[in-house]
Amino acid sequence: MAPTPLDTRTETEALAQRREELQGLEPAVVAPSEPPVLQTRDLSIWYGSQRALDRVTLDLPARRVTAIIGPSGCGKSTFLRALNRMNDLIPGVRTEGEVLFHGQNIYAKGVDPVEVRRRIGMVFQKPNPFPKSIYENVAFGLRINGYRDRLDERVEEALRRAALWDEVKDFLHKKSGLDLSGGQQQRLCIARALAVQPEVLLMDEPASALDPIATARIEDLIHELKEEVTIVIVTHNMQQAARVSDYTAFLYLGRLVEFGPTAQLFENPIRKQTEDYITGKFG
Amino acid sequence: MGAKTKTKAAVRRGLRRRRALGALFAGVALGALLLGLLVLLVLIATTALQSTQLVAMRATADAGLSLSLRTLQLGPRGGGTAGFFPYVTVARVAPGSPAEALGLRRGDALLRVGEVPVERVSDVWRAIAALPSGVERASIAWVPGRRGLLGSLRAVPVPDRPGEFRVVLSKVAPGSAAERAGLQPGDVLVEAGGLPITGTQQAWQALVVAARTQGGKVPLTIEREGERLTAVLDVERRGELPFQRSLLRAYGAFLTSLNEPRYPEHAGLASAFLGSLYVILVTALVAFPLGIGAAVYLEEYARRGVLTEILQILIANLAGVPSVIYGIIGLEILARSLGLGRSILAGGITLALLVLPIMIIAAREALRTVPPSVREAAYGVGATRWQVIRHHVLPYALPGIFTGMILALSRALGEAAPLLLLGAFLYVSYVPQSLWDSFTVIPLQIFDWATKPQEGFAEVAAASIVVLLVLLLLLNGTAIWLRNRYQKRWS
Amino acid sequence: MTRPRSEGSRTATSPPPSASLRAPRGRGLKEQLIRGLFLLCGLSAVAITLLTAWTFVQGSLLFFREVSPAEFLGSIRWAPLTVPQSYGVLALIADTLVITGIALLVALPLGILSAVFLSEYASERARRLLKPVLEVLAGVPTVVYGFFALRFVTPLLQGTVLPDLGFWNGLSAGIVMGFMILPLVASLSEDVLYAVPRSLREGAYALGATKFEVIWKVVLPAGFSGIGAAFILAMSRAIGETMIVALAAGRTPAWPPDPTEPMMTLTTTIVNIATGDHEATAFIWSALFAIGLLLFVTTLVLNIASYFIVKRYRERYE
Repeated sequence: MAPTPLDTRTETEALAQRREELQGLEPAVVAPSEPPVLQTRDLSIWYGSQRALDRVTLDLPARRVTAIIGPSGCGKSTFLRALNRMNDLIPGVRTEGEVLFHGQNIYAKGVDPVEVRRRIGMVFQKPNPFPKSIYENVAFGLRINGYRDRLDERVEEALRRAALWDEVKDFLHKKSGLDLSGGQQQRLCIARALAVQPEVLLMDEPASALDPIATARIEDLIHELKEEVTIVIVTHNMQQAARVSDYTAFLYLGRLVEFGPTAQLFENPIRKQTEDYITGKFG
Repeated sequence: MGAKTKTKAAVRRGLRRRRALGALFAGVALGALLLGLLVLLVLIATTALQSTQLVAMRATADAGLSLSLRTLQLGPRGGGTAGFFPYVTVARVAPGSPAEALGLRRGDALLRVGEVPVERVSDVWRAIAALPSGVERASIAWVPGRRGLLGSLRAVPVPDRPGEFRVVLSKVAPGSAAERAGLQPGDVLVEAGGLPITGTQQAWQALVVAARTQGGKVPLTIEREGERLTAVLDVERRGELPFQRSLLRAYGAFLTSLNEPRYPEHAGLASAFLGSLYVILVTALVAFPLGIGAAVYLEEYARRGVLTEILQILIANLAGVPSVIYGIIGLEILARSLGLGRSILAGGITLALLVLPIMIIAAREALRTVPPSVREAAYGVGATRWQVIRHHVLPYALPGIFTGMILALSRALGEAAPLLLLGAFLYVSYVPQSLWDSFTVIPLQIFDWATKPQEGFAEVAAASIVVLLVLLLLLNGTAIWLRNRYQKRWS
Repeated sequence: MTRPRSEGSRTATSPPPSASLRAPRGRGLKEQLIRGLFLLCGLSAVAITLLTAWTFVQGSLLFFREVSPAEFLGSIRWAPLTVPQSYGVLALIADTLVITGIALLVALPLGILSAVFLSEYASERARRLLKPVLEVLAGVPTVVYGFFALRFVTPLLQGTVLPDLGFWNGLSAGIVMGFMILPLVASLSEDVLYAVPRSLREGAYALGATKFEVIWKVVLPAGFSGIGAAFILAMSRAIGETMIVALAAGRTPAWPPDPTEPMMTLTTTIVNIATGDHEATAFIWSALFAIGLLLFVTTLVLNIASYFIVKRYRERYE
């Protein structure tokens, strides 16, 4: 076949070529200096027969914000949901490899996914408050996890940490979570996750459905929270990744391409694919 | 070139034809829809109309009268007109009623109500229904019963003519028409109003028929000591009875009185109404938990697999099994093998089996409306599967589940075939007291009344249909209200 | 092991964090128990089916020990109570099919045309108004339809076109049954037609077809299998319908089947046996199961056929 000019190649051909380039390419990893909370070891995930994640090995540093970036379909949400076993809920998903939480494999036999999710909380792409009062939204996690005393206090604390208290304190019981604005709903979801005091907070594009002002508030919140909580955030917004994260991992076609301190990854990417992505050549 | 190119005009004509065909088709389709709806609505409307007869029927009952239809059969042998002559007698007079006060007695024959001649029982009801509104009384004319009109009669065989009798007045009742006409004991009754007299009961019947056709003064030919005489009997008596017509009262009485198998004007739906209520209650108690449970299993727990697939196919197809099949199961397994007999319990469980697939399907649909985000959110804060179901999925889906359940119960409420098979009694003249009592339900009562040949029961059946349809409408209305209310709230 | 946490004060007020990621004692068991409970509920459907099958097969075996299947399915004489007894259901099947045929003759054209109107011509508002009306009509108890047949339709036919029509007859039962299944046919067909993809219609419109031509040549053929499923389901409903025939069709098998005469269907035969005054041990009871089995299998086969047709149709278009 005669060589064709680059711009006339079809999408599929380009994709096939990229996939080929990735094969056998070791990820470029600059290991973080902080101790890891979560580590993945050769983590692979299949949807039926389709591999969504290919042997990802990554250490997520404690009390830092790690951003996962990559074009849509690269497996970043799948990766995130693997970290607290949310993928278990999707029929037909198969997981291989290990996810170590404080050195303990959360996929080991005998580990309760419920317990995992309690310690590793999650905030979703679209705000999804329960159709209940604001108070009940936050208190639910507390109740089911056995907190019986001082519920009011704990709810208030969670709402304060999510920077929502002042806006909702007058109608905690009167208004449904669904009555709030989109940004408030997302902060309510963060408060809900924080209430059970997780060590890690997974955020799946938490601001993608929000307007710029609400997005800024969420980003500020992430900054404040990383003092206490390890945060892993998936985003397809590179500016956001650059703004909020300490470390960034670039996933592409299910493979980890590069991982390192955010500033370095954005300014001096090691891999060509990373550079192509952050300079907007594809995605 | 063989094919001629069409001119523009031809194309336009063709299009017009095609359009006309389309319009015709649209008209036919609309016609079909309207015809279907119209026929069904007309059927329901005529039933409702027929059921209004209940008002007049109840009014006669309130006046204290129970009526029944009799016929006088005249053979060709006796001369005169052969054939059947229907007439209406008073079968019962309620003690202390206006009818008793007026002097009506059991066995009296009604001649007219208002100006309407009474041949059949329905004439009485029609006459009362036709009274101008606001008029709550009607004059009635009647012929007293045999004893009251004449006295005692005796049939004496005619010598040498086997099978033939002479009717002899053996005692004249004091104050009777016979006394007033000067009849004496020993008189032989020969002919009344031109009709030959051949028997004791027939003598009186002849007087009644003659009174109706010829007026209240009936010529009576007698034989006294070998001599033929003609007396004129004033057989007709008149008076006025109150007939209170009120739809509310009529239906109130209908719903609160017990079944009366003989007189439609006294027929009541109380046993069937309560029977239906109890049976539905048992059905709900059995089918609710099972239905919700199965739906939760299929939607929340089951993995895709052979078992799940089999379950789905079974449930979808059990919903379409003829209801009469469930009747056989109820009869064989519940009533006989388990020894529940023809009880409310057996009936309720039978119907629960019948509506269970419907309930499961409805509950599954409701569970599917719960957005996955709600489940994810709850799992995300560390809820167990059961906690997610109990605190989020079920509360969210409950209005939808209830809507489906109510619709399924309304199906059970209208079911007759399985219970007919189970052997629910058609005559239940008591109110069921416990789960072990035998029972009847409204649809069965309709079935029973609809097949009764006597006048008036069709109307009573129609009234029960109205009651049943109103109940179903209430249930459906509740379901729709529930659906709308919560749909608004959640979305 | 303590959790690495910066603020000791908050940790102290929480319940002690579980050291491992294992479930607290008893939780797994409780969850499994609850799951098992729900599974049991789910299996109730299987239980009902098995119970039904077992009952019918057992009863039928008893029946076929005495009566050969050849006589059962091959003889037209149903006379279980007169000597010599005979248990042929051919006449019953014929009567059932004739009444079902009449019902379908009424319900199919009217139902499909109504569905076409609702899905293709009616405004969204009219559609939203009429669909629930159809559903409510479909919920009218069949005993009510039976009453209509007996008390309105038969007298109406006697008074107008068929003065010789019997008081009990298959014709009015069939006609009224047609109106009973009409809402079902209309509703199911409407769902099918409404689901025909827009792109198909637009393709035809783009070629200059009129609305009628689009419906006639594109929408109806596309919905053919779905309407077929509705037809099969309607047939199953008609075959299994009991109260209308019990009220209006009479209880005498007609051979050859003549709808102006009293007719006895399989379902009325079941009612007849069950409500008859027989001793509990009488042989005739076992005939109940044989006929019940026949009815059960017939309707089940029809239902399953319709289920798979609808499923395939859905997979094609959704």
